[in-house]
Amino acid sequence: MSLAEKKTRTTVIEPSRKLRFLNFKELNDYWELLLYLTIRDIKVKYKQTIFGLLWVVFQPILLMLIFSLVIASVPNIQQAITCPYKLFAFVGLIPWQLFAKIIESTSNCLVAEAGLVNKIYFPRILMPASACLSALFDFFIGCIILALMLLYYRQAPSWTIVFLPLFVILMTISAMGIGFWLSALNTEYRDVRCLVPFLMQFWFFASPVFYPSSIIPEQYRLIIALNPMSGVIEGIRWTLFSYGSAPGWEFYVSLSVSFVTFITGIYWFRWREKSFADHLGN
Amino acid sequence: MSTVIKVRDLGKKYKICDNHMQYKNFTDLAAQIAAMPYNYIRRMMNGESAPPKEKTFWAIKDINFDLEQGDILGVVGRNGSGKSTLLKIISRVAEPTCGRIEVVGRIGSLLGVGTGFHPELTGRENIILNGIVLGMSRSEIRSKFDEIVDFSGVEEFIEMPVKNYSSGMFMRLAFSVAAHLEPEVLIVDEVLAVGDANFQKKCLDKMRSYHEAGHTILFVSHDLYSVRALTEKALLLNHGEQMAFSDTESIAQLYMEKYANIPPGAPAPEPEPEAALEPEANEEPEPPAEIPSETNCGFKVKNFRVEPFESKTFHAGGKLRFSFEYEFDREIDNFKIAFAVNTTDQYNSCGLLADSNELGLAKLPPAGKVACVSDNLYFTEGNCIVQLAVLENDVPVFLNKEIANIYNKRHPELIFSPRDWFDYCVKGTWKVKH
Repeated sequence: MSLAEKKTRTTVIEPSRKLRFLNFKELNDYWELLLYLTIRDIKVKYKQTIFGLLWVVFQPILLMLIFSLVIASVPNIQQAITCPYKLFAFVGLIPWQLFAKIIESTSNCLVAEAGLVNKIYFPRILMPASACLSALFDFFIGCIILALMLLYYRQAPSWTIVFLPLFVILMTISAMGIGFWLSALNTEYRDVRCLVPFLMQFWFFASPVFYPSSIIPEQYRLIIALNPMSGVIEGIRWTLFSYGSAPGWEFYVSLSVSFVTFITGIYWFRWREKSFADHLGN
Repeated sequence: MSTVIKVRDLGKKYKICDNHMQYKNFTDLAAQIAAMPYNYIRRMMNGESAPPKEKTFWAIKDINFDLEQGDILGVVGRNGSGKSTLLKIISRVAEPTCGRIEVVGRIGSLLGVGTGFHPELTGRENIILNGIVLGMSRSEIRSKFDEIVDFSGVEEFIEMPVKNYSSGMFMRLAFSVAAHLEPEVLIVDEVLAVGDANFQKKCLDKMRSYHEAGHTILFVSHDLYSVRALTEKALLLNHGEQMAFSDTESIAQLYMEKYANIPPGAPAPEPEPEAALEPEANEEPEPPAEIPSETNCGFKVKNFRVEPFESKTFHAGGKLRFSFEYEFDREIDNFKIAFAVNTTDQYNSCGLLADSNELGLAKLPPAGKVACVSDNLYFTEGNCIVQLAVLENDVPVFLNKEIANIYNKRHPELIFSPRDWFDYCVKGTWKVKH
């Protein structure tokens, strides 16, 4: 929209009654704000640190080392995987970190930026969106380290790596869906924020991050499939090593769950949006 | 002139929590749901048919007004009258419960200075961020960047993180960015309340230049002086309802009539959306409330009135008449009665003093009425605070440093001098030789 148009456009403010989806025209106007909010998040995270961006990979590397000491020697696991355990674990940990980071940062983003939300108008969905983008930035740093590890272990990724971006997108969508629900709920019920770390820990063990899902007994496979992350993590491992079979029915179940959460998450967020300023106080 | 803002039947309702109704976290919500069958049975047994209704509170109700392009509207009212709520709704931060607003053009709101500033980022980065948050585009910020830095006066420190700035520098920078925002409709919420007198003057000047450029401004302030100096139309809100919408002069009159002679001790209800409401407190503040005193001697003062003498309004060059009734438990020997008429609460500007000689009374009787008419007073335009002290042997038995407020208007013949130049301004006899 040109400046002249903006100067003469009429804005109508009235109570909204219908369920709304995203207003793409408006989001287009606010893309600069999204960009700068993300840049701010990233800059602030690393401004006063010594190791700077290396902090991003510190946690997964540490976890990988611990798991390789403890878990790698379990006989079932050794048989089920074809590559060195350290690599296996790292490949699971980096995507998991993206998922967990998106959920943790989006669930609290509105409350943390209450000052902004209470004083300025902008499409509120920009807040979880910028939290997600800044987590994606960290993920790309992690991917670089992952590439270096692949080099080190002389594991050339197979042709299936073309599917990797698809899985990353899927993972982002499922995390965002959950993030929308949680951020909206958190403004009204502040203990949501306390539940999140516990939820993430539980979820971590319920997902095949540091173990292959093939060691899960048959009767529990469906439950594991409902977890969107199981399909994604196994899928990412498949794209990099071509190990295991191509994603089967479990994957499609995960896919549908993710999409449903994402779409309903947006509707819920947009519905509760009207009362954010009321709940976030002054 | 085109209508830029149309407000029709605007209202905003909040739910008020009773202790057992409100749930703020999941555990409470779960407990509430679990207790529902129990509560239902209990109501059945007591013979009540329906669950108690949630209490609601209308922060604003039935607001209607139109603004033309280039108008400046001052929104006035006591604390809790709904001014900030109205501005939040027009800024689209909060959503109305009912009604409709139409606004032509971009809306820029200054509901607080320094929104979006982050202490870890440098001044430069914060200018860009704050500008974008306020609604400017990157190109606009880039073109105005030097002006902004210049206006704020923090040029040498612009590359330092903002956390190292003094609070004064921070304010200047934050305001400088906001001042270069040029939306068609500007909304300002008591930004002037922050900052020193110099800063406030800068703010006012900037807003005047917006007005001259043809923008529309909505302005909330407690300071009646700046509202009168800047605005032409005003809206008076009282407990969320629109008391009056007309030109600033009449609104200011109405405001002072309604609130000027109230002793500060009278209860001023301050309803917040989350607080429990008492049933229908009568908000009309009646003078019979006892006037408090800083001393505790039992000297009671009632019906204190201060009004212009021999004219309808109090203006520079006019006289004031003070009167009050009092009651004490004894006669006072060696008494003095003093009124002070001050322009600020920092020091006494002008006093009227009477003792037993002046009044021709040896002792002050235990009960009675006192009246005093002053000489001509030449204060500059602004609010005047009235003090009363009654002394026995030069020790106060009654002291109230803000017993009333009265607004002093400009004298039509005196050359206008603003309150921040002089408090008191008189005519002189001038001559220039050449």
